[in-house]
Amino acid sequence: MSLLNVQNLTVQFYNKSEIHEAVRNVSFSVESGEIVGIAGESGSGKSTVMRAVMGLLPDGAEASFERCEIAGGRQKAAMVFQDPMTYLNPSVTVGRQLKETIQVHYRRKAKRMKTDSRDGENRSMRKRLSENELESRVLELLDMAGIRKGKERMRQYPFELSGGLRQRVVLAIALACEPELLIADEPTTALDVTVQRQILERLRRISAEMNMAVLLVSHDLGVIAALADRVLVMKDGQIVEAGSAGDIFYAPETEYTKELLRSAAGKSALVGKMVSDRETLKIEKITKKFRIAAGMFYKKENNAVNNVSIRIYEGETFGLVGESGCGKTTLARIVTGLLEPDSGALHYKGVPFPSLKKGRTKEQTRKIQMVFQDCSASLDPRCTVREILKEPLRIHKTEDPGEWDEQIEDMLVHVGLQKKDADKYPHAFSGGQRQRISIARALMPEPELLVLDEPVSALDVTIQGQILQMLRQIQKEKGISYLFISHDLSVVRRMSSRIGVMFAGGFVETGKTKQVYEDPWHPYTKELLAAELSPEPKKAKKRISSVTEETEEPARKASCPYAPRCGYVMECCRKERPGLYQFGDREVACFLYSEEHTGKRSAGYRMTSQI
Amino acid sequence: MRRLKSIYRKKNIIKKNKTLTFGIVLLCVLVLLSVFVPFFSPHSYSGQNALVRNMGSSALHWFGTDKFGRDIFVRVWYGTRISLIVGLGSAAICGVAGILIGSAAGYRGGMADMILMRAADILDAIPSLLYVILITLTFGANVGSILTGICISGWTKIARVVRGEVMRLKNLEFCDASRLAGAGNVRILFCHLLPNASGQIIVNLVFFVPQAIFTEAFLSFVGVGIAAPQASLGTLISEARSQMQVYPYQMIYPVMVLCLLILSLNLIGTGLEKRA
Amino acid sequence: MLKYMGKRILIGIVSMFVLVTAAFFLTRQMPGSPFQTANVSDKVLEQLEEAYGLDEPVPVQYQKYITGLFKGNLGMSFKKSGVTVAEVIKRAWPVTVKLGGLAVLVSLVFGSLLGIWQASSRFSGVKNTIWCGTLLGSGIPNFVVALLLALIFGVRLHLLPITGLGGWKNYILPVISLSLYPTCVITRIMNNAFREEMKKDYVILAKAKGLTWAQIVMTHILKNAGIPVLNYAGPAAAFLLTGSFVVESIFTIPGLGREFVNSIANRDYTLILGLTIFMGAVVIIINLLVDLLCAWMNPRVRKGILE
Repeated sequence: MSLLNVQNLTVQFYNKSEIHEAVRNVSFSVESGEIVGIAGESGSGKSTVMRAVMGLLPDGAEASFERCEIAGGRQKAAMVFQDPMTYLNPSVTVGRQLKETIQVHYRRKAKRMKTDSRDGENRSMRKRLSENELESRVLELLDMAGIRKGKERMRQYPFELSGGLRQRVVLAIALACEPELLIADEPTTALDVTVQRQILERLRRISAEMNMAVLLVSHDLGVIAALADRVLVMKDGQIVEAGSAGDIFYAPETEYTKELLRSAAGKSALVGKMVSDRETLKIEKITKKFRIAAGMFYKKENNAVNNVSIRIYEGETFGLVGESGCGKTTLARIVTGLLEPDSGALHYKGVPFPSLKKGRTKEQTRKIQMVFQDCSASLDPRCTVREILKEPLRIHKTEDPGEWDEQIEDMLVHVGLQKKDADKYPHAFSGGQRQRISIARALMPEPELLVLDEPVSALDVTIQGQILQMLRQIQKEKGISYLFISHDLSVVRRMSSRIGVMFAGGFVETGKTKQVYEDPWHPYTKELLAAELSPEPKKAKKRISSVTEETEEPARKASCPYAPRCGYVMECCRKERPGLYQFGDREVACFLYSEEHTGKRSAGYRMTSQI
Repeated sequence: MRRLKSIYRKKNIIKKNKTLTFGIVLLCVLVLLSVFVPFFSPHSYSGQNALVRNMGSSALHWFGTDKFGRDIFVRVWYGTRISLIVGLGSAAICGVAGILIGSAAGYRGGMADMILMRAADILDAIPSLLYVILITLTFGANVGSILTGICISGWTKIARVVRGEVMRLKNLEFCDASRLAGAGNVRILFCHLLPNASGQIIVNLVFFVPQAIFTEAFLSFVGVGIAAPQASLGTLISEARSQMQVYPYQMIYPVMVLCLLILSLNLIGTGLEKRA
Repeated sequence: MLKYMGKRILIGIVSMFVLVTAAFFLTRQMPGSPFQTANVSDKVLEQLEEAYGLDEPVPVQYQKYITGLFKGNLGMSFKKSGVTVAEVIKRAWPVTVKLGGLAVLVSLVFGSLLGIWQASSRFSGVKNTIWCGTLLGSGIPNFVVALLLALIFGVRLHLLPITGLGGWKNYILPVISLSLYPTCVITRIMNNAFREEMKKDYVILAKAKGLTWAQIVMTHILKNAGIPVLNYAGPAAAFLLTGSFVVESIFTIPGLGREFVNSIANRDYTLILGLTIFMGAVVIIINLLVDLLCAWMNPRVRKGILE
C-alpha cells in the first residue's frame, strides 16, 4: 500500500468566465521512505499538484480525481515552501510559531489515542503540553533542522534570520507534525548555492534517519539529481515521463526530457576568447560603505565593496560571480555611475568618469549602460514599449526625430520581438520578453560597455539559453564589452572569458575562466564549484554528502572574511585581511599564497593551487 | 497628447465599474442643478415673503418655504454651490501643495524631508476643526476663512501619500534605467514617478472633497461658518432645527441633498479605489 | 525604540506650543471686546478691562498666560462671573469622557467585527450589504444623524429620551450619532487589512499546519491586520471630540462640546481659548500614546532596527 496514491488528478482554475486546466489526469504514487523528484519548468503544474494533494488549493480552483489519498490521512504529510520570508508570520517569534504547531499536533495525537483505546484502558493524555515540554521539543526540532543556538533563535523574529536559517525554521515546523511524507516545493530556489547544498543534505539525512518519504519539486535538474530516487517530468499539466533517476538522467526517452537535459547541461560549454588588448574600463580600489542600524551613540558600518579593482578589455566579457550580499550589485551601480564610491577611481578608456551625482555628462553616461535583474521593475508600467525605447533617443537627440520609430522597430526585431509589440504595455509580455525589452533599451544609446546584473536568473532554463545566445550574438556584431554578474556559475562560465569571484565585498580570485574553473586556487571558489549541482545523479549525490558544517558566525573586521567557513584556515587568517596576490593573470586573496606565511619562494617559481 | 489618449482609453473601463459610473452621474446631476437652478429660478435666495411662510411643497415652491417665506429649493442649491466651491477649491489647493511638498520631501530625502515631515506632524497633531473655528471667528465667517482653515493642515495627508509613493518608486529599477538614459531629476519625477503614483493621489484627492464639504456644513451648523442670510446647507439645517418637530420637511430637503452630495463623491472615490 | 519615543514626545511638545501660541493670538485678534455687549459706560469698561488684564500689551499678556498655564490657571470666564475656566473644564470633562469613551469602544468593537465578518464571509450578499451600509453610513454627517435620530426616536416615536444624561437609555442615541462614522471607517479599514493578510503566504502555511480558523485569525492575522485599525485611533479621537460639539448641543448634554459651542456664541474668549487648548492637548496626547503603542507592537521598531 503506497504512502501517497494519486490517480487521474485534474485541477481546473475558474477565472471569471474562463476555465483553465492547470493539471490534467496526473497519476503517480510514492512509497514510504523514498525520495521522488518532480521536474518541470514554470507553469507545468507541479506546484498545483502538490497543493491539491495537501488540500491547499486557493478559491477558484477545483480538483477532481479518482484517488488522491495519503495513507493514514493528511496529517501524515507536511509541506515546505519556496520563499521562507513570506511563509512565516513577521510579527510572531519563531519559537511561538513552532510551539503552536507542536501543540496542535499533540492535541490531534491525543484525540486519536483516545478514540483508539477502547478497552477501558483510560490512559487519557493531557490536553496540552506544559511550557517546559514544549520548549524542549522546540529545541529538539531546531536541532533536527540543523539550527544551532536554538535557545537564542527561538526568541527571534523571522526578519532577524538569514534566508537559509528561515528555511530551516520552515523545515522544523514541517517536522513538528512528525510527517511520513514531506512535500518540498522549490525549497532551495531562493537560497544561495552553498546554503542550498546544506539544506539538501539535511533533507537527505532526515529522510534516511526517519524513514520519511520526500516529494521534491524543482525546476533545477541539478537539485533533483542530487536527491531523487525516482523522477517525474511534467509539462503543461501532464506527466510526460517517469522512471528511476538513472533512467531519466542517463537514458531519457521523450523529446522534452532530452531538451531539458540539453539546456541544463549546455550550461557547461566554455567560452574563452579575449578579443583585444585595448582597455575600456579600469576601476581601482573602489570602496563603498553602508551604514546599518545606527543607534544613539554608535554607527555600525559595513564595507559593501572593499578595495576592488577590475580591468575590462574591449569586446570581452568579464564575469562577476558571487552569492547574495557579496556586493556585486553595489559594484554594478558604481560602475554605471548610479552610486558614488567612498574612495577609488573609475577610468573609461583613460578618461576619469565621475558618478552621475558628481557630474557625469550625458555623453559619458551613454557609453556605459545596464540591464537589470528584475525585469518587471525595470520597465515603467505606465509607458508603452515605444515610449520606453524612445526615451534615450529623445534625451540624446542624436538622430532625426522622424527616424526614431524606425530605429525602435528595428531594435525590437533585433532582440527577437515583433514590430507590433512597440505599442503594448510591459505587463502584456512574459518574463523572457520583458528582459529582451530591457536589453533593447540598454542598447538604444549605442553603449560600449554593458553591465548585466543577473539578467537571466529569474527565467526558465530554456529561455535562459536563448537570451544568452542573443547576448553573445550582439557582442559579436557590435563589439560591446560586458560586465556579466551572476550567482549562477554555469551561466557565467558560458559567457565570460575572464571571471572574478567576489565574497564579502572583495575579490577572492580572478583569472581566465577556464583556468579558474578547472583549477581553483581560493577555498571559496572551490566551495562554489563543489556546490554546483549538475543534472547527473551520481555526481550530484556525491557532492551533497561531502558537505561541511555550516556556521552563522560573522567574521570579525580585521580578519579574512572567509575564515569562519574555511577548511584551510590558519592563525594569520583570523588576524588580518589578506591582500590580492598576483601571479601572471591570476589573482588570489588568500594567505596560502603569500610569502610571509608559507615561506619564501625562488624567483622563477610558478605558483600552483595550494588546495 | 499621449496622456489624453490614455485617458480616453480608460473611459471604456468606466463602463464596467458601476460604482464609479453611478457616482459620476449623481455628481453631475447635483452640479448641474446647483449651477442652473439659482440662475433660472424665479425666486431669489433671500427674498422674504411673509404670505407664504412655512408652506410645504407646492408647484410654485418645489421644496416649500421656510419661516421667512423664502423658497427652500433655491436656497438648497445655493448652498450646494457653496459646498462645492469649498470642497473642490480646497481639494485643488491642497492637492497642488501636497504634490509639490510630498515630491520634494520624497525625492530629495535627507534634511528637506525631515523638516517638511516634522512640520506636517506638528500640524497634524492639532485637530484641524479647532483652528478652522478660531480662524473663522477671527477673520469673519466667509468662504475665504473656511478655505484657509481647511487648507492649512489639509495638505499633510496628500503630501504623505505622495511622499510614500515617490520614495517607494524612486528606488525601483526603471528610475535607474531612466537615469542611465540621461534623464534629469525633473523628468524622472514628472514623467515616471508621479504618473505611477497618480492612482493613489487621485483617490486621496477625491476623498478629500467630501471631508471638506462635511467640515463646511459642520461649521455652518454650529454657527461658525457661513451665516444667514447666505444659504449654506449647514445653515439651512441649523435654521430648520428649531422647527423640526412641526415642519420636518424644512430640514429633510437640505439633509437629503447634503447626503447625496457626499455620497456621490464617496462613490466616485470607492470606484476609483477599486480600479487602482 | 527610545530614540523613536523621544522624537515623538518632542513633536508632541512642540505641537502643544504651536497650538497654545496660535490659539492665544487668534483669540486676541477676534473682533470686538467681550464687554461691548454689556451696556456699560466707558469708564466701567476701562475698569473691567484693567481687571481682566486686557489693557496690557499683547506679548505681556501672552507671557502671563503661559506662566498661568503651567500653574493650571487658565483665567476667568468672561461671561460667567466668578467662574474660572479650569472649573468649567473640570465639571464638563467627565461627561465628555464617558460619552467619547463609549463611542470609541462601540466603534472599535462593532467596526472590527463587521470588518472581519465582511472579509471572511463566503456569501457575497453579506459582503455587499456591509459594503453598502458603510458607504451610506460614512456619507451622513454626524450632526445630521443626531438630528434624524432625535426626530424619529425621540419626537415621533417617543422611544428614547433626547435630553441630558439621566439613565442608561439617554446614552443610546448620542453614542450612535457619535460612533456611526468611525464605525464605518473602521469596518472598511479592517476589511481591507484582513483581506490583504488572508492572501498572504503565512496563512497558507498556518492552514497546512492544521490550525483552526479561529486560531489563525486570533494569533496570526489580527496581529498584522490590527495595526492599521489601531493607527486610526488617533484621528478617531480627534473626530469624536469635535463631533461632541454638535451631539452634546443637540441632546443637551453638559459636556465640553456644549460648553465650547456656547462659549463661541457668547464670544467668551478665555473660555474659548482654554477649551481649545485643553481639547487640543487631549488629542495630542492620545495621538502620541497610539503612535507609541503601534511602534511598540511592531517588532522591527521595538528592536531598534527600523526607525
